[in-house]
Amino acid sequence: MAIGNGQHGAAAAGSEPGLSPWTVAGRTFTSRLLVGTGKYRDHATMRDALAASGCEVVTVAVRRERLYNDRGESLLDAIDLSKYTVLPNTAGCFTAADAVRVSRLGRELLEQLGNAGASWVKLEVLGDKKTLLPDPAGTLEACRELVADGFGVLCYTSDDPIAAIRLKEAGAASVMPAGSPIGSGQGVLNPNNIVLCLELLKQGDEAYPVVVDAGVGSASDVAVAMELGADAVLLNTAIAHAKHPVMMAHAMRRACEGGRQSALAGRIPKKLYASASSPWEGLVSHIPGE
Amino acid sequence: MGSYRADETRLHSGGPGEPVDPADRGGSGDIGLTVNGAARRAPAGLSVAALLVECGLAGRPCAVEVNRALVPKSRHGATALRDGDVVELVTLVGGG
Repeated sequence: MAIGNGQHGAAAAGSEPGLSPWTVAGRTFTSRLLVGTGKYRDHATMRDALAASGCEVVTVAVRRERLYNDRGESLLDAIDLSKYTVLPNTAGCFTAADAVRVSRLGRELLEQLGNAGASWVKLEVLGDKKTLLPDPAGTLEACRELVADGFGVLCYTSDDPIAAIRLKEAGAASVMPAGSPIGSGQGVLNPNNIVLCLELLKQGDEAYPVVVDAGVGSASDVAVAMELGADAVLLNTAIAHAKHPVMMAHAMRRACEGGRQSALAGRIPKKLYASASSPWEGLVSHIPGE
Repeated sequence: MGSYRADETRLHSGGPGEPVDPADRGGSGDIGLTVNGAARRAPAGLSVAALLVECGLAGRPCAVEVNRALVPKSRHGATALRDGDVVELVTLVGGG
């Protein structure tokens, strides 16, 4: 990992050091949080939380129109689409064929809306409804097909480093290992695997974007993912189901920025013994054993 | 993805701007459709665009599949539905 080599220094877009833009699937963003639009108690809370998070990318799902019951306010009316790049997902798909099908439906909708998100997709091919863990074989198959169809594919996957590298080889624009199961709030359960994913994916290709997607429960989880060297974090439930979603969204933004800066600043090595911050020299009192 | 290609042959589209050939409308009278999983009767020769009007979706962003094949918006007007067609009308909702 070549982060913390100084080249990210103070020449960032903002006034704070290290907060430089990043690029994924040909799109460049300042914010390194991607935020989902599901599970908010109401649209007003969602709008305020998205704004507080500072995100520029929002994820959405592709579903049937409700034809026979009250539709209520549509998500598309609730979000200012001129502000956000929409990232449609294939959530709920359990086969590569379904994920490809849903990706094409999402593209059609975003083309109709004239949104910049029309040619990319957050690919999820799930193996099981209870765990929502990804099906690695189905994900790889769908990734290949979608890349061939011109999609920028952001691949949700497990934290398996070898699966991650296979997806990159298949043409994924970004590999997005899960910190822990979707919506579980368990944070980054296996930081070593995330580090291995980052090492393998960025070997000789430092700019290759890696996003930790899923499992975030609190702001510290975002900071951990960013400190490990992730380029960005994608989350939904941790904000939407927080007691105060807007406050949590603020916290997530700060944690993301703080984690990024912490990663670049270069942390001290961990040591077994203490190291005094105040000098021993000139001490007026007695040191035991000396 | 063979199922997509096989199903595309069932679509009768006159192409952009071309009128729908009445002979392709699946006969006179009503036809049976499945729209978003529910059975529905419709007049023969109904276009995708007209179905969207009937469903109150005119002018709304809506992705349409007929028999699992995507029908882009540019073809909604010229694509006639046939008896037995399975139609999906899809939008974007909140999700992660």
